[in-house]
Order: sequence, then structure tokens, then C-alpha cells
Amino acid sequence: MLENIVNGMSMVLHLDNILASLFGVTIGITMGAIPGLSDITAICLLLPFTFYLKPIAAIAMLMGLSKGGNFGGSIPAILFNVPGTAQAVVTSYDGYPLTKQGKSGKALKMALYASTMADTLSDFILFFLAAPVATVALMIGPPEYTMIVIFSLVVIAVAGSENFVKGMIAIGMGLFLAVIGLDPVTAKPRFTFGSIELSAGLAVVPIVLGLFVVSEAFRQMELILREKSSRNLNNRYQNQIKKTDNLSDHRVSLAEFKHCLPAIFGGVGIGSALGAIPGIGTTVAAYLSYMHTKRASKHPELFGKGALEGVAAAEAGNNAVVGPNLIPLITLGIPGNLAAALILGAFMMQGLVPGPLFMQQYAPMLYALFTVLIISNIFTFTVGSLFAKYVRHLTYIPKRILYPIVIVFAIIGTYIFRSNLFDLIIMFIFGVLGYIFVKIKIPITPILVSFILGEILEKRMRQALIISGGSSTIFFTKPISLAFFLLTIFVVLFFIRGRKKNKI
Amino acid sequence: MNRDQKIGIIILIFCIVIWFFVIPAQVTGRRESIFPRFTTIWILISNFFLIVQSWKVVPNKISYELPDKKTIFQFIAIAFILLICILTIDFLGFFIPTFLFLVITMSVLGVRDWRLLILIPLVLLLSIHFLIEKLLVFPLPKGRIF
Repeated sequence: MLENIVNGMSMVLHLDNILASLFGVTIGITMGAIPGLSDITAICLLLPFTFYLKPIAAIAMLMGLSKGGNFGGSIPAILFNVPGTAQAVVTSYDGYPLTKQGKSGKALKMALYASTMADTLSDFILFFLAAPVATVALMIGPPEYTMIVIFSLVVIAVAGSENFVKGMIAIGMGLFLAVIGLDPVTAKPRFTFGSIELSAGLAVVPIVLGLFVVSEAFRQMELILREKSSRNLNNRYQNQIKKTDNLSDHRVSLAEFKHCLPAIFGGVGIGSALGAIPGIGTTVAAYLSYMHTKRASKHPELFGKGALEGVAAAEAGNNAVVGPNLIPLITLGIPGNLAAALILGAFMMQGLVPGPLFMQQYAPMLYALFTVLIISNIFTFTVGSLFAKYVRHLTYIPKRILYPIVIVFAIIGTYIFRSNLFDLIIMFIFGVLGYIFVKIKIPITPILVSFILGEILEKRMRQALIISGGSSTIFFTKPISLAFFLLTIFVVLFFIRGRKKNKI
Repeated sequence: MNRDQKIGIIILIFCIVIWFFVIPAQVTGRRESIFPRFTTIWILISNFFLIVQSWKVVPNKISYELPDKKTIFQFIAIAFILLICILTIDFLGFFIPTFLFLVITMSVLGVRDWRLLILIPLVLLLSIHFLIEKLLVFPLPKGRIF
């Protein structure tokens, strides 16, 4: 094993690999920081360039893009409340209130520390637990998977919404949106209304950018117009961000970091567990980690108003998915998310086929990959620190100039995703819907999460029903599946009881 | 009738339309309709609880303060300009509609300095051109006319 580790490390420690990683991280953070562009966009755009690189350099660049983009997405979420990526939505809950208090530097640094720490710990989990976790993951079949997803969705509705019932409606809406397009089993069109564009289904990028970026821009513009019309021209509409030169507002003290450690470790646990299961993804992990930290906190009332733990939990949760997400990719050849799928493509382009035999045939390659991941984390930390230091000054751009620009970036981000002008109309529709939903207090994050999980939930549900010959008892007779079903009921009852007690 | 009751009724009508009209017309096959019906039932059950819950809530007459007519008009105008911008990209390409969108929106939001109104969109779009089209070699929409 030691020989394999040394071989793996010696494969990586060359200048071209290190430069490729640095380039990937820098481009990843830059693109992630632009609302609308993400790690996925960065990987898509730079994937063709990896043809010209050696295998390790190519993978180093792609991992750098993925990790850099993941952190970069939190920058606009914290600074402008316009999350560049789906997983950064949760970071904005407390990140943006901190910015409004003039503590954007502190929020960005906490996001950076939590994300790189969680990422590194999750890489160690990948390193040591790849084989045993893959064995457990193999036990999760379609019925178990179905119940795990339903459990996750109910937890999100229960814990993540002011009003549980509205959260459940939002989940239902997201699941319904996932149905549009071709049937995942028989490929028959559903809800396409004869439109060729709709037969490909709704893409996640226009929905994210519409629901979160365009709708937020609309809300901010409404505020500017309201204040303009009330002749309140005392610069409030130009800049609502508190300006502070107090250095302690832009630093994370040791005491604050220590205070956030349980949130980070909680996020690592949740993110790693979910990361090992293909398809669950970073957004759910960020959300569950945030909710877990909020529930465990002595001051849950501070969450959503600028709790540093909230930023730490969300970032730790979504970044802890990255390492274990490679477990199903390496051990089973199943990509855990879109980024992993693109990385799988890069592996295959380089002639490496991940799967059960990968760890036997290319053992040094696994250790090389691990070394690449650690190097990418180091670069994310160093480059991210530089970004965190200077990028916060962007909050001083007047909002009447900033938000029209944000919408232009949303247009670019949507178009770049799959060069489809129809997606721009979808983005606009979801922008308007997101604006209305916020006004009528229907939470928009559960819509996104359930939309992302909808397709995989349907596939697994249908597979389970095919296995059982159409009998739904399969969901209640398998031990793991039954356990999650009971857990779901328990969570709902526990929540209703808790709410009643609080009212009393 | 309070806001949640109105929302509940709208969602109820939506579910009825989906269940009785849209699913039969847009989904062929029993297996293909399992999941759409499952999601409709999910929404319907949640909506039932929303309606029940809404009867217990005392209606809040001043739940949301509407802005004045001018603000509403300006806000709708911005949303409309964005829609026009998106729809004309196919004909005029990316740069002309977005340039006009930026100029008009910033002006509606209160930017009065004409130099800023011209310079900011110009510098931004030139940067986008060099970053996305030249550096990353990704073509933005060209348009049928230009």
C-alpha cells in the first residue's frame, strides 16, 4: 500500500500538474463568483482543453475547477444574496444578513474555512472509506433509495420552512416540474404540449437562476423603486450595505472558529453520508446540515439573521459531499452528480475506466487522485483567501447599477448551460414565479431541491414497482426502506408536536 | 377570505385541472402517469392542510403594503423590458438587447448621469465579449439580423 501511495504522489508532484490545479481553482472560483456561472459551467467550458493535457494534469484541472467553483458560488450568495449555484442558496441565508451588517469579509472567510476544512476531511473519508462505503451503498436498492429521498424531502419541508404545509406544497411543485419532458423509463413525452424544447425537460440552471437570481433582482429593484418614489433619497436605495472599516468585522477570530467547529463537523458527517449515495447531491447536504446546526444551536432564533454557524454549516455540508461523491464513481463507475459525471467523461477520455476493478488495476491512480484533491484544497484556500480579501468591496457598488448587471449575468449563465434561447424564457418565468412565491410566503428552496431529486425519485420508484410487479408493499417490507418510512412519520409527528408545544 | 385561502383555492383548481384534463391529454400510458399523479396527490393533500390551517388564522388586513401606482408601473416596465430583451436576442443577438436593457433599467432605477448609463453597459459588454467569446471561445447568440 505504501508503495502505491508513494507512486501515486510521485505521479502528481510535477510542475505541470500543480499549475493545472492552480489554474483550475482560479478559473473555478472566478466563474463561481459570477452569478449564473458555476463549477459545472467551468468544467463544461474547459473540458475540451483537457484533451491536450496528460491524464493527471487534466484531472487536476477538473478537480480544481470543481472545488474552486463550489467555493466561488458562495461569493455572490454572501455578497448580493444571488447564489451562483444551487448549493450556495443555503449559504445566502446567513451570509447575506452578515453582509448587510457590514461583515461580508467575516462571512466569506468563514465560508472559505468551513468549505476547505470540510472538503479536506471528506477527501480523507474517500481515501479510507471508499471500499467499505461502496459495500454499504451496494445494499441500497430502488425501494430503499425511494424512501431515503422521500425522507430527505419531508425533512426539508419540515425543518426548512416557516410553514410546514407550504414547504410540502413547494416540494410537490418541484416534483411536478421534474415530470416535464420524456418519461425516464419509456421515453414517452409528458407535459410537453407539442413543444420540442420541453421534451428535453426543464434544466436546473434556468430554474436556479430564475428562482433565486432574477427574483432576488426583482425584489431589490422593487425596493429601490419604492424608496425612490417615497422621495427617500438619502442614499439608502443606493447602498443598503453597512460600510465598516473595523477589521474585526472582516476576520474570523479563533473563538468564532471554535464556536463553528461543531457545525463544520456536523456538516462533514451529513455531507459525507449523503455524498456516498449517487444523486442526492450538494444542495440537499447543505440544507440538512444547516437545519441540523440550527436545531442543535442554543440560539436558533439567530439563524437567518446572520449566524456565522449557519454559513459554516451550509458550506461544510455542501463541500463534504465532494470527496465521498467520488466513491460511487471510483468503485462502481456511477457518477454521484453532474460534476462527477463530467469528471467520469474526462477519466474515460484519458483511457481510465472507473468501476469495481479500478482500485485493483489503477491503485496508484487512486492515491494520485487523492493527492490532487488535497493540492486543490490548498489552492482553494490560498486563492480563496485572496478573493475574500478584495472581492467584498464589490458590495459597495450601488444596487441600481448592480442588479441590472446581475440579470445580464443570469442571461449569460442560462444560455451557456446548453446554448438554448428557450431556457431564457424559462428563466424569466421562474424569476416572476420566484418573486410571487416569496411574496405569498411559499419557500422556493424546497422547490429547487425536489426538482433536482424528482427525476431520480421517479426512476427508483418505478424500478421498485417493476421489481415488485406493481405492488407498493415493497417499500414497507425491506428493512432499510421501512426504517426510513417510519423515520419520515416520526419526523412529521415530532415536528407537529414541537410546533404545538411552542404555541402553548 | 385571507391570502392562504385564496392560494389554497388556486392550487385546488390547478390540481383538478392537472388530474382530470392535463394528465389524460399529455401523458400516455398507465405507468407513465404514476409519478405525475403521485405528485398531484402530494400537492393536493398538502393543500388540504393549508386550507384547514387558513381557517384558523385570523385574516391580516395589512399583510402586504402595496406600492404606489407609479412604482408598480415602473416595476412592471422593468419586467416587461427584460422579457422583450430575452425575446429579441434571437433576432438582434446578445449585445444590442442587453445593452438597451441595461441602459433603460438603470435609468428607470434612478441613474441620471448619462456617462454612467453609456459607459457601464459598454465596458461590461466588452468585458463579457473578451472573457466569454474570445478567452473561453464560447459564442453568445448572434441573432438573425446582426
